[in-house]
Amino acid sequence: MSGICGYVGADDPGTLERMLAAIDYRGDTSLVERGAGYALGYRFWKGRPGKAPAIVREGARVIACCGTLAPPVASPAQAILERTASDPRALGDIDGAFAFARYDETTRELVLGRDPFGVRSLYYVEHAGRLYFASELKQLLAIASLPVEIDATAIHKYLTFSFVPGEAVPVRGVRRLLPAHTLVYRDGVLDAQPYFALAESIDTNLELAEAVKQVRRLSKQAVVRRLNGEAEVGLFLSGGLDSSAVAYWLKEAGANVRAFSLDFGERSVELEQAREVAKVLGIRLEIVPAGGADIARVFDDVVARLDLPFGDAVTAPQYLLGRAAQEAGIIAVFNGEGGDQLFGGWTSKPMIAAEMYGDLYEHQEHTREETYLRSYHRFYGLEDELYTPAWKAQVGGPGQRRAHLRPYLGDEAAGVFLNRVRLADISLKGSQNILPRAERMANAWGLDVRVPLFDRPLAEASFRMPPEMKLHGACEKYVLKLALKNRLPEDIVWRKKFGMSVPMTDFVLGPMAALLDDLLGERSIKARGMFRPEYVRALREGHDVASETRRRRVGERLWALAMLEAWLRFVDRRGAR
Amino acid sequence: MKCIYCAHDAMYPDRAAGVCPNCKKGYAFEPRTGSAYSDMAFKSAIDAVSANGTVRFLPEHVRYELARRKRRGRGTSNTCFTFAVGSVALMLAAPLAGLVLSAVFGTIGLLAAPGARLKLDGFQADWSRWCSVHSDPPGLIKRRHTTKVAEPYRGGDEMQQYSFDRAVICDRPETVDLLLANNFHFENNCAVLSPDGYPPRAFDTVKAMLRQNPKLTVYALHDATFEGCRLAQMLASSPDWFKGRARVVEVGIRPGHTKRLRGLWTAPSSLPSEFSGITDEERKWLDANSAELFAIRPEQVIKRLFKAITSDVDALSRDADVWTDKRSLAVESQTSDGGDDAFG
Repeated sequence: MSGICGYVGADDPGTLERMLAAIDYRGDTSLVERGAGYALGYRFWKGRPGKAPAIVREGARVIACCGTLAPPVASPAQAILERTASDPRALGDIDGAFAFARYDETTRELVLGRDPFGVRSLYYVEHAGRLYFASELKQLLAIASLPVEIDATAIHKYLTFSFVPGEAVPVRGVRRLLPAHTLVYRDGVLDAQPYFALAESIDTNLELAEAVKQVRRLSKQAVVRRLNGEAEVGLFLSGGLDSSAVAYWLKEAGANVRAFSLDFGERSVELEQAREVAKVLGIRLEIVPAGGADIARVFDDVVARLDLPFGDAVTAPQYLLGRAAQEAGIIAVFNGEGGDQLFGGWTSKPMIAAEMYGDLYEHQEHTREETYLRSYHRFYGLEDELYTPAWKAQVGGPGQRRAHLRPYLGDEAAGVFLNRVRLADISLKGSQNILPRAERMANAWGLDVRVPLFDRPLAEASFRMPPEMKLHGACEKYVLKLALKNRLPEDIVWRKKFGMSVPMTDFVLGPMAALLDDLLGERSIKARGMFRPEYVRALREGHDVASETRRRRVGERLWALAMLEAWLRFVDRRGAR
Repeated sequence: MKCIYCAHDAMYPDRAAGVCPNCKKGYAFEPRTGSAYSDMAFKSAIDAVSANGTVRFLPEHVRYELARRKRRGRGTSNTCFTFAVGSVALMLAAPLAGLVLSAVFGTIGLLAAPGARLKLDGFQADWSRWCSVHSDPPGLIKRRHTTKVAEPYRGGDEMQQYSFDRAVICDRPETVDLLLANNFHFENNCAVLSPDGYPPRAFDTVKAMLRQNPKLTVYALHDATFEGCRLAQMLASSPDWFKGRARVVEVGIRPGHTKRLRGLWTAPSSLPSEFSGITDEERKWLDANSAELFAIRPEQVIKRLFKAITSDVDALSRDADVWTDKRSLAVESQTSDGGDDAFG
């Protein structure tokens, strides 16, 4: 619920103020610190509990920091300044959800840093002899002289992953600092380095009973480490295992919790389970209607607040949850994101199935990377159906998408197969999709998002556990389930995973059809020139390619395309609302 | 005859050299010199079974598609028969016109009298010719013949700790190929094997993995043959497979499903050593016929199998050790293109 920005270089009058104004929903107050050759800005909600000044000066060093550390400290800015006193990259075992910019007036060195799992974002661009940086892309779009050109390769990646992975973002020249990285900028030279990376270190002597105890202890600790003295915290409760687990540990930690669950009408999947968990734990539950018409009404604002295209339909329901939490007077919300990535959820299974059968047929590549890309179920392998020849010619050569996966899936030394898939899931799906989009949707309503399962000690412990404690036969997240046995109702613990299943196909073909007419109608598609109208038209009539068995893909794909078109319009107007 | 590349319609003298006079690409077939079909007709069959290149298929699917099209032609013959009868009636009123019409329609009808059996001789040679002239069509399933494919999977120790949500056991390796090449295993977290040890790379490890799921559901997918119809019973009763360890669901073609495949039936399969799992009525049909899954377009097989595995097993009827998914066999897939073949 705050944000930073700034630049290093010659004074650029008015720009810092425009950058701060671009994120006015992240706070009602701005702080600014300027000096020779730099400017730092910070936007925040004044009067929120637990908030200390987030621009701190100590001698020649000045820092702007947004977010919180885990465990909480009075001033994250001060804490980071102290940690990095002798070495700007020495963040040690730091944890939490933060992004910072530290400038040393003596050495004229700027250091940018992001939290270990990527809850908070940070972008930068070199332009007109300066290095600009900001919490959101729209703040960089507020630099009046910055040329804005769409990067086709980044869009191509979006259409595969449903988010834009890696350092490049879809505006040419703008880079993203990766999670768990620091970037040092000095004398015009940029140098980004990781300060933390998860790695497998299996403890073969670890007994299952001990692993279960560890999960209980560390999960509760992860929750406690993210409570910051709030009188009441919110919880986005889906009724699935992970958010129910967080509910349990919040209650065990003595927190005053108010839960919010989505109601998709007759297509709701886990609403009854959410009610059951709330009842068993004695948590007040608010049901938030999330129909197609509700989503259509807020769509433009969702796009603007997301800042980057995120093609998973879960974002709009998260936005509606955030609105309900804000209206209830909540300022911090917990969620259960991360359980699948940490403990071997259902996403590992298709990869294992594909791994077992391998590359059996000619004319058909079945590499691990190819399989993983396919698992996102967007447009990988459908490029010939979707892309116009002109657009296809712009997206770049082969291998660019796979390059994001090679460090994990292609490296036999990275560990056992399950852990390699989990590392890819955490680093890509988790850190570059789930966490930033959750943060954006919470911040859209001035909420601080807390994601306790993405916790360093808990994550590191999960990589010490033998893989069969996570995926045990066909049972996903086995050790987590054992940790919750007799603590949550049996059917919550052992039922099959459903996930937050947004009935998007019904929505886009029904109450959202008028919105899609505007975004993906014949005129719009032709004007953009990227996609084949006949394929988009078929999707809008409810038909996908013949090989597709699941009707829900129609909605998922249309949502991803609609989100992209809306985001391109957002960039066309340089982020202005 | 139209060229499949440039759609140029060339008269016979202009294409006699076997090359399109417009784009200079070759023809695989020449009906004027005895070929059973034109290149465009053959391509149309390939497009149909591959759903325009989006679904993987085997050459046998094309063979059946061509036969199905011939069968439709016979459907025309039935129409001809009706017209012939009508013409006889007309003859009573207008003798000359009626005579001509009844002769024309009657002759056509007799030449293409409906039969139960698949007849398409020389397909293999035609297929080879097609591939040599036009190369392998997109979506063709073609096994790799490398050492890596034949060797057992190397990371088996780790993988044997995990399992699948379900398994589809097929009576023949080609059906395994159809499912794997179309990513059915990946999309549905599903083991796919045939009892004869196919595919060799995965077979032992996958079979061991299946033991790790105490709630496993197994789907038996097969031809209407003696061995195929025994498959579900064999899987449910064999200690080497799933006896007492899994629910086995019958989803294959049984004789009772073959009515709509009439015209595509094949010669009876060899007699098995025992007949458990086969009724007397089924045995009677199997003594004279069999029917292959190839007779159903790949898209339909995949969609109907998907429907079967996503149905509630508890709602299925149970006969001794085997559950039967009658719904998925009886109805067309919701997202199908309305192909005329029933999955049983």
